Amino acid sequence: MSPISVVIPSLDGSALLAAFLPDLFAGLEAVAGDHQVVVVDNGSSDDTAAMLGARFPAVERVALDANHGFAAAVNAGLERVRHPWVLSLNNDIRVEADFLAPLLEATQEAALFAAVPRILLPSFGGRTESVMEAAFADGFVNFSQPGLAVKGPSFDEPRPVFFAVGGCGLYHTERLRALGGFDADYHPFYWEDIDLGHRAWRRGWTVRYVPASVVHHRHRGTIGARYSPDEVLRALLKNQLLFHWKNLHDPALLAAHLDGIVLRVLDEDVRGERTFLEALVLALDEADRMLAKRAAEAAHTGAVPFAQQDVTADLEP
Amino acid sequence: MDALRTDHDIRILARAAAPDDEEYALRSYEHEGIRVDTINNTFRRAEHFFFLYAVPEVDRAMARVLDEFAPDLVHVHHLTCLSTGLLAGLRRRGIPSVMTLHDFWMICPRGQRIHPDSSHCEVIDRERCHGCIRRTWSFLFPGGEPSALVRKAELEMLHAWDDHVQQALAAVDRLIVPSRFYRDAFVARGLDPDRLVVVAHGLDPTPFAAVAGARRPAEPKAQQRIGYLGTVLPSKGVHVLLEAVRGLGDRITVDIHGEAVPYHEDAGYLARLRAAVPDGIEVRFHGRYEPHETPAILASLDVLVVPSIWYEAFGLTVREGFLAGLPVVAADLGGLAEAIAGGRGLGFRPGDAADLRRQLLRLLDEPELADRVRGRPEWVRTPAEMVRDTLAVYEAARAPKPTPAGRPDPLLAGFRAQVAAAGEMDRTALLERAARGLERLAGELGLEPGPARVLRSLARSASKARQDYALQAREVDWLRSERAALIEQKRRLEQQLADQERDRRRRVAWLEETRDSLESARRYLEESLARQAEEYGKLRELHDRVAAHAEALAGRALDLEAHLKRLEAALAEREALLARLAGSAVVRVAARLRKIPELRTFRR
Repeated sequence: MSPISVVIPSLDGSALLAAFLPDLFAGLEAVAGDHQVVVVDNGSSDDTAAMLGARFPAVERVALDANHGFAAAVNAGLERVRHPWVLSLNNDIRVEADFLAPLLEATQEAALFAAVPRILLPSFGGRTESVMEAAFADGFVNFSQPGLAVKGPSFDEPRPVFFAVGGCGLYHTERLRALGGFDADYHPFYWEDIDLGHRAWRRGWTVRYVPASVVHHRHRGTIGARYSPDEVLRALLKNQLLFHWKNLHDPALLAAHLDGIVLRVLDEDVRGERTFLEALVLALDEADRMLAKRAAEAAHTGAVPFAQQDVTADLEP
Repeated sequence: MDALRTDHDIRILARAAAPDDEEYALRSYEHEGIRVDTINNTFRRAEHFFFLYAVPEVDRAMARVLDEFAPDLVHVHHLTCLSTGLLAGLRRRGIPSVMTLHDFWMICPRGQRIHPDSSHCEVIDRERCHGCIRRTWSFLFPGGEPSALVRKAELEMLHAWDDHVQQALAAVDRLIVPSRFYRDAFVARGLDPDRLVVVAHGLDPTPFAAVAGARRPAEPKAQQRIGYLGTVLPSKGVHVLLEAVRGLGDRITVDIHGEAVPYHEDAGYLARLRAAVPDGIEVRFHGRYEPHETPAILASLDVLVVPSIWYEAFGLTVREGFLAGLPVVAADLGGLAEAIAGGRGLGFRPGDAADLRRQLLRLLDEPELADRVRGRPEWVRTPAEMVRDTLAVYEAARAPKPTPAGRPDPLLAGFRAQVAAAGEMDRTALLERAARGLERLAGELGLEPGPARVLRSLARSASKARQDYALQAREVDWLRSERAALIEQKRRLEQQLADQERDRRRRVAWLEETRDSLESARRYLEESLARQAEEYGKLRELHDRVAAHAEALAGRALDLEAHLKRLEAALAEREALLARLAGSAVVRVAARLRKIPELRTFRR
């Protein structure tokens, strides 16, 4: 088995890195090889640089001048990657000692784009975070995490998933590069990982959930600490819209999507609310960048594990 | 204002309260050549505590004024009935801001740190605030006493509100406070002392000069005229003054100048004051007065009392008293204490009528003391000085800001600005922009633009009709929640009814059981009574028989006794006979008697 590269974006996360990097090294050493660890310092003002230099000299540090967001940080790290498989890892994830071997086993599948471990949420009853499903309803693609409905670990069998949730996933380096990495136009955050998974499936590649590999997500809410709930909600809605404008090609679905937008605006308006409308205007301001990417995406028509068949049936007159 | 308007272009933004106008409508008028914009806020849509502080619609209306006028600086005097979002809006636009803190509204929702029970809040304790706020704005907290869960949620809401005002204040470049006491109070709540500047309000001494000049040093008078000037409110402590003058009727009279206004729904203060006037003292309530009348009113007094029980920010009346050359007695509290400090006036313990009375008596008894505590007019700041100080604060607010600590975060700053800009657009503009964008998008995606046009007509739909519709929708929501609450109440009542019915049945069963057992006890007792009566009859009969028998026996006993007496008489007769016979034949007879034992008995 080949060695892997790890890319960890981090913003003011010195303490988290100091706490979880030893586990990562232990996990990597369980599989022999010249592994590579890259920390992308997203403009931290804490002592990340000094701490890494003193305690983890083996870590390669890529320093950005300021916070450019998750996607841009991973992409910056990707440029440094030497190995055919790269683990994208949040700084608040602690890996188990034997997490790597099952992921590498999954890479035997020729069409694999990404393998995602069983990510457990210790602060949320140890639920499984990384089983991602998507469905098209009322004009919108929505994703869901059925694992969150069950206390403790669930979903014991490997299965295809819609996308590898941003926190932790082992990606095929060349395929990830071919896709241009995460799309940083989904700023400031959210939907960049969904977009990536979707585009991989369209290209005939696969994303697999590998429950034998276990990591723990000590959610500390980098976003919640910096952004207000109103801002988070608008980012989520804006990027959801942009996702459709870039990736939705079926004319029936697109028509349903446009109707869905108008209905949501009307529905909000009669209630005297305007959150969605504001997000819509934010998204429209950025629509051109996404529309420009449509043609490249339309060329790929691979099947997406996407619960849309029954919904499209409903749409027919 | 006059001092500023020559060199500056001024506009005023204020709140209107017009029940007949559209809520949050932006209107304008001119006042002495200055444009005044007003935003209508009658709280008719207030449905949550935060509406007292943050109203997005008001923020948007204010944003329109800011964008149209594009001021170089905004001086905020109060945001009550407007919205705290103004402060962040100024920061986003890079407009320097100054805010004067005239009261504690940014710490205490009632503004004065006075609890409904009239005690003042020395320490801010949100647990205490919780009860106070529920009492003050009961219409925002329907549903009676809160459950533990609701209470916890409301306390969290109060802490969130704390964060909210802290953040709002953090966006202001300079904060003006009228006294050092206020500066310290806000520093104690975590405000940066470098941003807080004490600027005393300025008062024009001219109209007071004649009054002060005409005043002679205290001369003994039959009755000294004690005066109060100001709004007649519980927090102003007029009741303390009335209590203090009890029994001083031959030495003083009291004049109360000022309008009584309702205080958080309490409109009964004046009536309570009138009822509390002590016997034998002349207290005159003069009602409302105009500012220009102040010097004349002060001229009619001998002593000015300022008895506030709340933390006054400044002590304007105290200073007016000084300008008019009056001895001033004021509560030793907040801005008042600062105004009379250093012997400029006479202080008393706030709310303590006995102490106020002591100080008044001192003034009456020691005329030289009265002369000593006539405040010096030169100590009071003039409007020109206030303008100078305020302009200096404006300059400080406009000075370039030092870069904040930490790395810049262009991603966050950019997105935050985008969100804020969208948040400030009014609905029509937002809908028109969305409609335009969607029509273009539909074209790019090869779709019919029809649905997008719906938004265009929505944008054009009369805002009045839409507002009515939204209002109706809210009302429907409200009615729904009311209905749900009523259903819940009905369910609870039914449950209670069922419980009571069950309880009633249990009691009835118990009573019936008790009745039955009492009934059987009664029957048993009746039976045994009958039995006993019967026994009694029998016993009675027996008794009668025994009695008759006893009577018969008694009769016989009498007979026997008579018989015995007769026998004894006969015996005595015989013995006498024997005695006569004895003389002759004693020996013979004695020998015979020895042979007859019966006769021996008789001889004894």
